Amino acid sequence: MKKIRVLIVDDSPFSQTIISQSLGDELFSVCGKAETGIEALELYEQLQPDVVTMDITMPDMGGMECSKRLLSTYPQAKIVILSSLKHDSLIVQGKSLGIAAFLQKPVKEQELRRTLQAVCAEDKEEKNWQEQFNQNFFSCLPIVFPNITNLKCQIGEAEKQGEKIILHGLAVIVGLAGEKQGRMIVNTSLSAAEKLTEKIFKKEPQEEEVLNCLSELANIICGHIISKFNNDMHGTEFTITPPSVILGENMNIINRKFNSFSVAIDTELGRFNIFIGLVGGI
Amino acid sequence: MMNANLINPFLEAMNNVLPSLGFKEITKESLNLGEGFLLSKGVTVLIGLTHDVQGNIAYNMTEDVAKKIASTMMMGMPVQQMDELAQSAISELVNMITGNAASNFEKQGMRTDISPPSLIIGKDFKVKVSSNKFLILHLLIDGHLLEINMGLENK
Repeated sequence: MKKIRVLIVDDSPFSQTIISQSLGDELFSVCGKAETGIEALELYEQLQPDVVTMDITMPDMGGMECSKRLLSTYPQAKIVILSSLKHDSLIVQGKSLGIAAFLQKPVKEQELRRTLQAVCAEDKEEKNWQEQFNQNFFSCLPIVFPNITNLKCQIGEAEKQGEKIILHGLAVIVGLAGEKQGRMIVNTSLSAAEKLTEKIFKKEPQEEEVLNCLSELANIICGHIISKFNNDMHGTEFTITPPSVILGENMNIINRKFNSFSVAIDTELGRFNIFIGLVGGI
Repeated sequence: MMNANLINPFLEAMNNVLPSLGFKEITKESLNLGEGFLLSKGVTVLIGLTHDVQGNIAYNMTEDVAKKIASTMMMGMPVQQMDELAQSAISELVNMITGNAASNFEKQGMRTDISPPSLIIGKDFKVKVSSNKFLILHLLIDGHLLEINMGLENK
């Protein structure tokens, strides 16, 4: 089995020794040790370790600042903070930056090993899971969407999205909860939603009916795909939260740490965009 | 039907979470009933709940308040812009409060799961939580107004 390569960032030789003693065996290898933030950035680039243990206080820059710089260049970097302080605001700040885990010094050997292993394993498992989810989603969508809407659809290729998406018009958000978390968004213009509602209701719809129609559409699409996924992946219990609606000309939706994709569906009534994303690494 | 008892787990969550993030004073200003759309104040975070407690919550605030809250959460670090760090601090806050409220519901025997928060920033956009009628809770957090719109029902 491949060893987990660890870069230790700590200005205290004492801590460095303790940490590397806990990790020297068949599971881990300490590939580098840095005493300053600058050194850590250089060594990371050179060594590309699987995981970094990061001290909070260092002479040139704090561990938070160092992590921030590291993650801005390598967003996939796995950083575990080791600090004698462990208050909530530090954790919030760290989570916002994308820190994988926090441990309080002195760290027990077993706890350190378990955490480093979990942080590295999560990544792989998460990726498989997400690939399967996306595959499932994109194979279901071309069947489910035309079936429900009764529209002739031209379905585009899936495109990768960043954490931020900009929406115009009407959007319905359906949350995914349970074992994994995520959300799906159905976005279209108000006029396309009106036309769709009119087609279904066979009369000129009220605003309320348009919103309900698009909400229900999003709910059914997501519900279909999720239940198929739960069936295919035995033991998975994914659920959806009720739809909420947003309406405006320029809305920036931000979902932190999302692996997100979009698909454009062109119909005779206009374009519908579907966004699907799960929390997790890329 | 929206049940006013669903509010207490949230108030409890505020009192559990906010002081540990550096906030000192949490005051309940008002509680009203809303209907239909709500107008965003600039920054709105939507989060969904499912199972025994179902629905959506829209945490609504001005950009100025969002920056001030983010600054307190970052141990007083100045926040000039609603940048990535501030965005994730606000998302994390909503996640922590709603997650804490969900565990309070669990303690009462009501199974509750939450979706990830969606942070929405924009001008003049409207939001509709899942139910047509919802409760509007106004909280002052160290003098800053946080509006919490709760469209929840107990299944």
